[in-house]
Amino acid sequence: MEDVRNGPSKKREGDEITVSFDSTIYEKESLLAAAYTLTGSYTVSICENEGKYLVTIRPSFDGVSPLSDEKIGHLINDTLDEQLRLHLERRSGQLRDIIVQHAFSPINIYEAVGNKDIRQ
Amino acid sequence: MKTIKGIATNTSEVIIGKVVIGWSLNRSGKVLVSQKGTSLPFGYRSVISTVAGRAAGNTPRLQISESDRSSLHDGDCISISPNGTLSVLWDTTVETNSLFLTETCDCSCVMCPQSPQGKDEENFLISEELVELLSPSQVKTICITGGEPTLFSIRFLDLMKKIQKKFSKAHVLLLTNGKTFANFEFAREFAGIGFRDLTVCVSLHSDLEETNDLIAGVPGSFYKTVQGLYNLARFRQRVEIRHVVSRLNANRLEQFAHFVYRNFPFAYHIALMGMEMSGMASDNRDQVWTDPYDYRGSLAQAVKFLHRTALHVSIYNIPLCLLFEESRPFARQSISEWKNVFNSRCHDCRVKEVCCGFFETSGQMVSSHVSPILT
Amino acid sequence: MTEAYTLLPFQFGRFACDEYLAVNESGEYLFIDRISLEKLIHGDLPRENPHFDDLRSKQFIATGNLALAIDMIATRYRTRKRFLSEFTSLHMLVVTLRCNQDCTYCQVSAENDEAEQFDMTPASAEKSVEMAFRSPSPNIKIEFQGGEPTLNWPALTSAVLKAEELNRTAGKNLDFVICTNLTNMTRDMLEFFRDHKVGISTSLDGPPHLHDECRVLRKGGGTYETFCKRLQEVRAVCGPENVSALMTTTSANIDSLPEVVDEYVRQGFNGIFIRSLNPYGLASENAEDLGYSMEHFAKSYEKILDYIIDLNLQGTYFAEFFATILLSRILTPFSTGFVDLQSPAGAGISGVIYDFNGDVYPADEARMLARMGDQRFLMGNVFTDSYEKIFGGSVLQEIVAKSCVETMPGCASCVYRAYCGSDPIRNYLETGDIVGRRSGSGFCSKNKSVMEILFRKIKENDNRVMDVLWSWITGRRLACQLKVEERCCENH
Repeated sequence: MEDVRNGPSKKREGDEITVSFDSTIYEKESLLAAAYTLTGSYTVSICENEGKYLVTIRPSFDGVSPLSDEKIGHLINDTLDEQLRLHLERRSGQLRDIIVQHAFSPINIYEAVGNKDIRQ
Repeated sequence: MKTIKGIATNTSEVIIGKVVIGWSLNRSGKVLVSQKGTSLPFGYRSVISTVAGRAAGNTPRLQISESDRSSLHDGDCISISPNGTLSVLWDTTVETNSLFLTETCDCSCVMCPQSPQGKDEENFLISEELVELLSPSQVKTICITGGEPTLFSIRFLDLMKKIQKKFSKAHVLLLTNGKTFANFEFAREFAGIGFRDLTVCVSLHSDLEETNDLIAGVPGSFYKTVQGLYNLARFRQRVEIRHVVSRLNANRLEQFAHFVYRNFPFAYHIALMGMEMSGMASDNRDQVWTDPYDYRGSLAQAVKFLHRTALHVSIYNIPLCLLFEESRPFARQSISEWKNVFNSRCHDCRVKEVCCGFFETSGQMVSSHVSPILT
Repeated sequence: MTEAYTLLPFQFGRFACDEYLAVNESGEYLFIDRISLEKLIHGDLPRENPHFDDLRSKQFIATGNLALAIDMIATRYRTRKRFLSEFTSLHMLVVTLRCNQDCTYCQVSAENDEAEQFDMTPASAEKSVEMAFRSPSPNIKIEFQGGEPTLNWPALTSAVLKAEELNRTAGKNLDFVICTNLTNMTRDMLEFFRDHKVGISTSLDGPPHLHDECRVLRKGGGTYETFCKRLQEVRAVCGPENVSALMTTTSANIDSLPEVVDEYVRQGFNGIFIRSLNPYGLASENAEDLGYSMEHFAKSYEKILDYIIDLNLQGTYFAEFFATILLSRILTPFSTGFVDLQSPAGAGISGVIYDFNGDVYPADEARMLARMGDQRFLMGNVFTDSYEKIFGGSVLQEIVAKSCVETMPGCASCVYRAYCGSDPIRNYLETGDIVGRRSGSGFCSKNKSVMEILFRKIKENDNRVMDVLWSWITGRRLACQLKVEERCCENH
């Protein structure tokens, strides 16, 4: 494994590529979400080993070429985006449920969110 | 409203009456206006003339100048106060007249053209009397305003019911900050009155809650106004949104337009308005004054956007020379005749006839960019 | 200085280089740079940031009364989903599978002329109409499909008359539409359509050489000439405003779309729906010959959209209907009833289809599945089952539960989610599962590409282009937009 810098590193073995992510920085959920988009054409397996997540990507069918460097770059960036989405979901997901509930079956919002006014 | 100064005698309290020019047998509620006065004043609420009244009887009298006398018309409704001030409450020569229900308000907008007043009942009583005096044929368009007209909620609803019944064919405008309509029951009862042709004009100052409440002077105003708008929509009332542009909100005109369209798409009409620099606006001029010429660009974009969405949009109180050409078709003759003036610079302007001009009450606080449009 | 704020729920996605697009539950959108987005989500966005006020105004964050912000977003959300309160308003009757044409991409896989056993009987038609009127929707649209519906005149007329009879008491807004190739039309038929206000939806694939390439008669030969003659007659008898046309994009015309649009303009239509191929029926058999990649479609779509916008700028009012629907969702707060792209899916709850024997399906694809032996989506039968069983049964419930993009993996976090929808039957056809794998599918890739194209235009914000796009949404021609009506002033 090339591991010269802190970023995710990769290793090719035939058609297979394994990218390793530092598990103290990347959460498993983000990896799963980012990898999901590849599962149309690739088989993706993820395992953890010594503080790293190892994501192995292999073409699922004949005619699908191994994941290019460009696509690996997308995967890494997508993981960062998914990480951000995770943060957002944690901070605002509950409000979305309240919004949808109130939209169709009006509730007492003050009870739901508390009489919260940031200025106070 | 238009006021005339005169000398009053036998007048110990405010008199309200309807003008009749010339001797009449039907004197109930009437104020006689004549050149010579009369020796038989009995039955009139007051007699107005250009000569000092004879001391006969206790009938209140008012002496005014000849030019003022000729400005009064048969059917005008007026009030005369003990200090000799005559106010024209209802001018039969104009299209739209207003009923000022109160001078109190539950907001204190920084750019309000009126000055804040204590609680008063007098205006409401005058308005009720006016509704008694007016005949249906006199009332084409009636504008209910204040202060905040909905403040005395029960009495307000009763008065509105009377107005709907008596002036059923009139076009009615209600000018309000909308906060009372946040009360669902109030909104429901109001809608139940069943006006045939009513527009509720609600003032909204910003797309940002904090800025809106800063301008309105009362925290929680934004919340109430929004709830009020929603309730009016629930009861299918025709809603107009009025937005007075000042230095505090001129930088977000376009964003405001987007906000209104997306949150209140049921609005029938949006009015973007220049300030009248009197009352609070004059006192707060350092805080609120901004030259409409400076925001003409974002105003043009805001108007263009709203027009695209098929909402009706108008510009009030901004002279044509301070607007981009593309915005001018949206400008209206919005200033009441009695306080409508033009600048000396307007003399040669080709479009003076269709321009709203200025508020006399704004005095010298006008744009420095006023100039005649010559082409 | 950092001002505390509450994050409100929204989706985001990379748009270009360093820029992101964010869309929230109100359906509001905002472009934002990556760094600001990160700060925003981590709670560190300073008051001075240029996006701060817009984030507040558009309800991405709340700094004041949180309950009010929630109430406003919920109001917008409810408005966007207004189509739900209509429930089922589109009722399609497949009156026959016979057709006098044999179009190469036809998804109905029409039988030959002798296959009358699949014709709807008048009794069946009437029973289907009765079922349609059980819908709580105040608007009922009855759409006649086939094969070629005019080939089964008795069923068609019975259905129309029955609907009118029922509506005398029901008092609904009743509309009829017939989807026809026009080539079997007679004068009598046209007069019936005129008298009963039946709208006509037909197909035109372009100028003669393009139209005749795919839309051929069963016995051979092109249909363009006949089509044009009939179109003139239809316009004369029924009125031009009652005829609309759509086209199907195939490899034959995908690179000649400007010619197709020119043909539409020449024929006096004021708009077109640029439809991509559906991979079913005959189409999938001929997929290799007819097909094209979704990338190809996206490129051609962008080109033709620019072409059409240009036409408008030069004075011809002409809309592209797919763009209009999506733009309505993006730019207006209103709900759009577009059954093919809804969440939950329109199949069943917004539109249903009645087969010749009274079987009810949520979509035509489900009906075809049944013909191929898979009755997975059979909702019931108008002769044997109650309204409650058909429209409240397990088939529909399953479809609804599994077609909300708000909860489907891949879709739930997509930036375009608020404007998109799902096609559960198509998912099932392609993957064997109602939920399917949308991300990467042709359906998803097409919709994403078109959304991206539209958002690029919105971002550019060219005033003249936006005038054109809004003229499609409001239906108000540009010339009228620019002239302002005189209104008397309401003064103070």
